[in-house]
Amino acid sequence: MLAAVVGPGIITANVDNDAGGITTYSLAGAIYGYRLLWTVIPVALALFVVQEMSSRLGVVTGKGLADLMREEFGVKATFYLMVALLVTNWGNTMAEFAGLAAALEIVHVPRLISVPIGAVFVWWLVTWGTYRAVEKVFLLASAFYVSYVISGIMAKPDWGNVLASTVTPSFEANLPFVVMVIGIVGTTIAPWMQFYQQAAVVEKGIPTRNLREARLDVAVGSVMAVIVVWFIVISCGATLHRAGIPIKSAADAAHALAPLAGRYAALLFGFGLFNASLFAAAILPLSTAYSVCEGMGWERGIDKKLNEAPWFYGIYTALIALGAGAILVPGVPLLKVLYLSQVANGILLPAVLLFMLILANRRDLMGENVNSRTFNFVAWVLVGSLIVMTLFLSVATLLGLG
Amino acid sequence: MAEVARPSEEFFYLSELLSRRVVSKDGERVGRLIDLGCAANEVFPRVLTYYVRPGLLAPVTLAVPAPAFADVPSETLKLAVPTDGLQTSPRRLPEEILLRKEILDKQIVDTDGARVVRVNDVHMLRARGSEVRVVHVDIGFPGIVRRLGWERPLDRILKPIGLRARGFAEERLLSWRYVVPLRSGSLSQDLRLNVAQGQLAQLHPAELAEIMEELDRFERPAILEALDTPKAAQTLAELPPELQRLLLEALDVRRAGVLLSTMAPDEAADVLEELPERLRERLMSALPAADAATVNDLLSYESGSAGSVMNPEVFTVAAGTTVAWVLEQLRAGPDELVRAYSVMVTDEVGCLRGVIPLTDLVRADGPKPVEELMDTDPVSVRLEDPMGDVAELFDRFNLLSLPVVDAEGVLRGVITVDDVVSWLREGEGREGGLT
Repeated sequence: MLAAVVGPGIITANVDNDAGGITTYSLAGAIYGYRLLWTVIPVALALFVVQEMSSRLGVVTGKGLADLMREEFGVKATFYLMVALLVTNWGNTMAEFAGLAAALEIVHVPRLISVPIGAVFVWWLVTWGTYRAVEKVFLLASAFYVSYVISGIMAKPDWGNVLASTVTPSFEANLPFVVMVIGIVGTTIAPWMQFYQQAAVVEKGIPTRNLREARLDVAVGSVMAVIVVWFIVISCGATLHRAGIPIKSAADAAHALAPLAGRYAALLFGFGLFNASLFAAAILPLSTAYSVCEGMGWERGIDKKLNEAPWFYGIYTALIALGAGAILVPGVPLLKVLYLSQVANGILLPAVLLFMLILANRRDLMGENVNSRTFNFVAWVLVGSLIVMTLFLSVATLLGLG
Repeated sequence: MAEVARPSEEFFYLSELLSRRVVSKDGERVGRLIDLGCAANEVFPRVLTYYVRPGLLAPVTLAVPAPAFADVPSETLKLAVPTDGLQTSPRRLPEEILLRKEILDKQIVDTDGARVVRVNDVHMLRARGSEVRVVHVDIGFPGIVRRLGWERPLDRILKPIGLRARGFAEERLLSWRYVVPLRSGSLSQDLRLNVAQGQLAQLHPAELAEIMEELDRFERPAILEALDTPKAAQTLAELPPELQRLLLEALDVRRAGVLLSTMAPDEAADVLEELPERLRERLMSALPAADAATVNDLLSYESGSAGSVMNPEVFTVAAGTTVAWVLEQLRAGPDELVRAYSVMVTDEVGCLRGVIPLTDLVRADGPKPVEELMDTDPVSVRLEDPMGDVAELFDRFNLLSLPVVDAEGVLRGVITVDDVVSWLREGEGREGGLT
């Protein structure tokens, strides 16, 4: 019975630890040691609250988020949000392929080989697979995140110190520290996740009576996701921070780990990055194509054939091609695209979260499953802070502080 | 022809109406239009109620029964009923569907469960006065562009290079008769089509005639009145004879005369032929003298002869004119000139000298005189020849058009392939067609 419900929540929360996320967590560990470990608790809470709402909206209405937006807020709002979603996810897809290239360069595979193969693989997976098969592959990929747990243990951290840091918030009132905290939260809650989660719930056809199990799915996913974050910060904190080695990316971290935690820990770390990048490179374009088609009303879904859903597969293919292509073609201004992507994200996330809150409070839509009073209070506080943080991050990105 | 698909002035879109400001009879601000309630049980639902919200956050909605406005659509909607007649409680009739809430932006699913597209807009028709009906749902890309408010800015940018925003993507309108709104309390339900996607008919001129057939005898003249003359004439010609009779009886004689003289003479003759004697005579007297004479000629030919089917208006040129000159005439002249797919060459007394297909004309050198190009021994028929023979000639020579001459060889008209097809279709019921 559980298999009929479990999946969307776990997958969504895990993909969230993508190439960009892993880089952020590695940097947090390398620069601040264990001092940012406490952030995993609010992050887990935010993740659960937001994703639970997505899941509930999907289960109760049987419709995706873009679908509901179009019907409740009209074509104008939906269209511009979809444009923002396309831009921000193009940037994200590119970052995933960059992560994939970097992970395989650790084992001396040039990106001219790794990126095209990766692109073709994810394209093939979704184009030829059925929803059930693809979901199984994604769940397997979620399991591979255990490599970070092992890598973290192999880094031999001081567990007492780790546990103490997790429950004792520490804060520094300087800009880099604040940006880092916001970065960790911001990379954990991304707009595509709400679209993906809700669409996956709808495509799976979870009935309203299984709302409780769907909630469990989200909770398990949120906890799994922050455990991975926790171990990544620990790995880097226990080694790179102590040795004072500066890094710039997750791949740097994998390299630097070898002399400190052993070759296997470094390989596992690299493998985690490879897995996460590939996984996200499949899901991001998929989720984007699905949402755009939903908003516009075009036929969509993994179970549809190529000629039945041309727009769906067209957008999916284009995002992969443009994302992977940008990594391979010299002269593409990668940083500019990433900036653009971050700004689009900053516009999109507040809008998406606000729309979700409004929809989840609509009794004519949700019936008895509207947000409860306590839930609403927590959700509004969280959404409010997330919006402030996202806007801050976008402005910081524009000003070149990130 | 493609331009027929473009909605004329009597048609408008729901999005053009929504959010319009509503003012009272004496110009006082009442609120904004937020929704339209329509009669769900009608084939082309009539608007029953206009819903107006007095302010952005106002808790009450005003329900205004149709006909509420002096003119729809217009920049500001002016109430035709007194303001105190408005009901403040949202009264909703049991058979009412709400266009904005229940139709606009909803997903359309066909009989196979395939998602076709969303309702980007609702296409509406204004009949006489202020009766407004839902005719189509707009499922095309231009609908999205219009809703986004890009149509005018795009037109402004494109105008200097002679283009229009509408020209880029085809307008896709889907007849309301295919749409089955599911009327249950749930907001989140899809609209269903009662046909599979592949069978969807696109809007074409004959569809107006189809709409007319669905309406009752009071509504038909009203819609015909609302159309401009060429479109009304075209629509009238497409109707079955019984409806033509009913409509022409109901219409004002002068209006009927205008419509008949706007049709091609052979179409007008076809319409008149089916009418009862007295009505026909009354209408003939309303026609301009020249038209009446032409139609009379056509009516005098025996039914089923070439003369009764042909179109007496033919574009002819004299021997000695150049290809360039003829092409210039065709380009500048009305559509009727090219209807025969060929140009006929006649001498000074009107005898047929030759025929030039348009395709040859297009390919020929400009300065060449037409007699070098024409077929000097064209296939032709006599006025009294039976249509059975005519159809056989079309079949044997793969003709698109055929000149009709009298006993002296004077060109009297032309029969085109569509005339033959119509004649054959009419004859299908009759003694087993042609042999």
